[in-house]
Amino acid sequence: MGKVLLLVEDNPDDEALTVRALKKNNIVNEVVVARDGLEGWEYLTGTGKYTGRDASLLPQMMLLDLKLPKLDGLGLLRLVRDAEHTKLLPVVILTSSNEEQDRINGYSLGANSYVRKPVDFEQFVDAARQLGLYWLVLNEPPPRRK
Amino acid sequence: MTTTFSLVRKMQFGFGFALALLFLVGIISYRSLTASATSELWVTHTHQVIEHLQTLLAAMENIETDYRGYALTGDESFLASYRIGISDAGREEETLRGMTADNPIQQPRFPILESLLKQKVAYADEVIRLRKNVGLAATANQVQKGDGKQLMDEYRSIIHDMEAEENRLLKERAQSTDVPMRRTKMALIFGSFLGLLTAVMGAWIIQRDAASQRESSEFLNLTHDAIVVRNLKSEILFWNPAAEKLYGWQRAEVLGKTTHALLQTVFPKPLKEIEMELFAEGYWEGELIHQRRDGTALTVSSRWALRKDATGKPIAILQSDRDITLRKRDDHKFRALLEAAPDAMIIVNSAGLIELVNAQMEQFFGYSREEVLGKSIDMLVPERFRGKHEQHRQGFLQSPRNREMGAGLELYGLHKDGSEFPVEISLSPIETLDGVLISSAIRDVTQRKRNDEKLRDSEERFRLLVSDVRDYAILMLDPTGHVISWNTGAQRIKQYSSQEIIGQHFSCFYPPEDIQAGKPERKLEIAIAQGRCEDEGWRLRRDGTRFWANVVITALHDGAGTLRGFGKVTRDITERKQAEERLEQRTKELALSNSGLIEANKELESFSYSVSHDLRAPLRGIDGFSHALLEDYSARLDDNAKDYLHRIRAATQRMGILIDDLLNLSRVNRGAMHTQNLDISAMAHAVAGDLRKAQPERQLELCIEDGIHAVADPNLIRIVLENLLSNAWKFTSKRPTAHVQFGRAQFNGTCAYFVRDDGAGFDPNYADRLFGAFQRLHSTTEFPGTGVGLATVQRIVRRHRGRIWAESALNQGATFYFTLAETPS
Repeated sequence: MGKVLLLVEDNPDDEALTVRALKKNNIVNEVVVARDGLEGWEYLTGTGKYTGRDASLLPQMMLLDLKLPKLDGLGLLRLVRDAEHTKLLPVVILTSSNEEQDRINGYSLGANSYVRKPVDFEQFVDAARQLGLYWLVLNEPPPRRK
Repeated sequence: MTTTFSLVRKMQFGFGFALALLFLVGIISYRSLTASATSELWVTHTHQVIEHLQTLLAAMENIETDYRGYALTGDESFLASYRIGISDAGREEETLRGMTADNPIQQPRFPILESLLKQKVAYADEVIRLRKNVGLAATANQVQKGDGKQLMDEYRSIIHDMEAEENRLLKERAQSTDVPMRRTKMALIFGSFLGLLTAVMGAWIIQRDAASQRESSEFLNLTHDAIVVRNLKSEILFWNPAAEKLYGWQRAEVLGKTTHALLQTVFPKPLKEIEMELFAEGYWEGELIHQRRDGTALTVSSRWALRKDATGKPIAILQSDRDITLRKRDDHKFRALLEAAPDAMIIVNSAGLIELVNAQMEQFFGYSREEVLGKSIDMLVPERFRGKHEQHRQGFLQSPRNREMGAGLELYGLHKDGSEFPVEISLSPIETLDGVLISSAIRDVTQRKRNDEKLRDSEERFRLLVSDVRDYAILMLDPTGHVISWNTGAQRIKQYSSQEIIGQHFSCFYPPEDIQAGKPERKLEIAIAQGRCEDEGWRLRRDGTRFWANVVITALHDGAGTLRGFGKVTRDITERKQAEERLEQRTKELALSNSGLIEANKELESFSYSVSHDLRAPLRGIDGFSHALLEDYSARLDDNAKDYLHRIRAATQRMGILIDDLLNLSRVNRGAMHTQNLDISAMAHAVAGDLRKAQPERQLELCIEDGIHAVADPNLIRIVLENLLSNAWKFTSKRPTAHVQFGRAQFNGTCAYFVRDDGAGFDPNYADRLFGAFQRLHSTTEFPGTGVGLATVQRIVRRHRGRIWAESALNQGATFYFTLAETPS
């Protein structure tokens, strides 16, 4: 079974470009998109819109935008790190913001990486390539729990 | 000596008294005995008289018996006896008359007795004749007539009277013998007793005197004076314990030694003269200096007395020494004290003559002490005071006690040169052997008087000064807060005239609510406790209007620390108060607008955040999908369409850079600075290294001065270096080889850092536009850029309280200097 990538992103343009950038790099994992923080949390916990989903099946990694409706990225990150079954989930913050405060907060809450979305699509593709290579190929995920 | 003398006197007196007593007793006894013997003789005499009287009476009775016997018997033998009787009687009468010749009472009786005898004899003769011649019968007849018996009775009666007289005398005389006898007895008893008493008393007195004499010599041992008795050769005969103690030698050690050699006596004048005086007067007194056994010297007051024997020949000298070293020292001290006294000291005796003065006196009065000693004090008293002075001096002697002279009066001393000077004099009596001396301490108060006058002048000036001050109300309060002085300023500010306000309590300047709160009293308490009390608040003018006052109340104490009152200075600062209120209002408004600014700043921050997020997202979309078109639909697009898409992408990317630059610019203004000691040289190397990597093909000679340090924020300084060095890279890009330098230079003692290149440079006429945001001196096609970099650099340098400027000429390269305030030079 393919490894699932959870992309939490409200902007459909960014979603399309991200998926395209991943594809350009031959990353063929299934991408599940959540439109806001709450939807991301429902996916991870098998609740709400994702009721019935086996919550023990965690995605390979989560790509997290910070500026989101309802529950924002940092809020979702806090829930993920506080919950026993998701606290080891690799989380990469993928955002337009280059604000120092956002980076500090992100790492403080336990983000594994912080990647800024460049305006130049070619640079974005390059960033996606490196992300995919690292997190989906090289990195050994934590052992799965029962 | 006195005791011995008195003993002799007592003995003389005692024995004299006893002798006189014995003599008296003798005389009394003798006289009594003599008197008694005479009395005895008289008694015997009287007894004889009585005897003779009885013999006479017996002779008379014999005559009676004899003539009667003859008459009866006629016996002639009776007649013979009768004749003898008559002659006996006559003889006895005669004897008795002689024996009682001294008694005028007895003598007249004898003629009577004689006559009676004659009558008796005549009668008897008649009877006898009758018997002889006539016979018995006629005789019996004659006898019976009884004439004879009558005569006889008469005679007997007279004899009895005489006997009675003599018995009376006998009694009297026996008595007069008794009195002297008793007196003698008395005298003997009394005299003996008195003599015995005198003897006993004499013995007792002698014994007592002997004891007291022994005690006297004990006293010599006890006296504190050293007593030395020496003979005329000065050999020591006696040495009392006080001498042992005073000089250190024991009696046994010194007996027989020569006094003056032993004590190494220093005499006030030659010994010869002293001895001459001693022999002439019998005594000598003076001060000697002796040496003790331990070698220390001492001064003694020595008295020598000459002892003579009965013939008046001198035999010994008694020397009595008293240690007066301390007293001499005290004398010395006293002198020194006298001389050291700041006042002129003059000691005058009761006659007004000067006995002692000190150096200050010489200085004050201009006389040397030789000129005044022994003279009258009047010479130092101005003439007009002399009469009074004499009176007062006598008055002082009447009741001598320490006091000021002429309290409250101005006293003057008379200088030798005739000038007078003001003085203060305190007097004290000194009791001495020579009577009361008056010691006067005289202080020259010329300077003080001058100072007093100066002080008065200065006080007057000060008063005038204060009274004319218009801008300050200056007033004085007594210790209870009542106004006691008032100046022009007070009148101007508070509107009261001094007549109206003096004596009023100062609380009338306070508004009623302050008075109710006890504020005026509290202000005084604070001023007492802390010395002064400053306060600002509303005060009332006379017309009831209020003014805002600054008030300083100062507690005023005299030299002894007693509260004398308060000084109160009030300023009308209503205008200042109003100005302050306006200022306060303005400050509030500013604070308000400031908070508006803060608000705006916050909004700007969230705006920047939004820009960073939201402005870029569409750009990514435009760029991304343009790219997708070019990639996915390349075959269907002609070259023109592809060119447009490329332009779209270039424009969106420039827009992205512009947004990033703007965010940087806004970021350097925000956020806290974190300064630290920074190796700027190392940082320049790192930044230049990045630039070299980005354009490895560039022929560029880089020269960075090492060891440049500064205290600054590393993130911000990195932005500065990145901008300046990348500018240098950029503007030298048209040169085949370029030179870029980073270093330090001194400007007016300040250290400036610089980045220099030899690139395009700029027109110095536009130098002021270099650091404005979006200002560019070159076209984007010539040198790309957003025009935000130098604006950012300037902001950072200013945040470090530094300065940035540039020097250049067109095509001659440029040098950018900047300073950092916290750079150690």
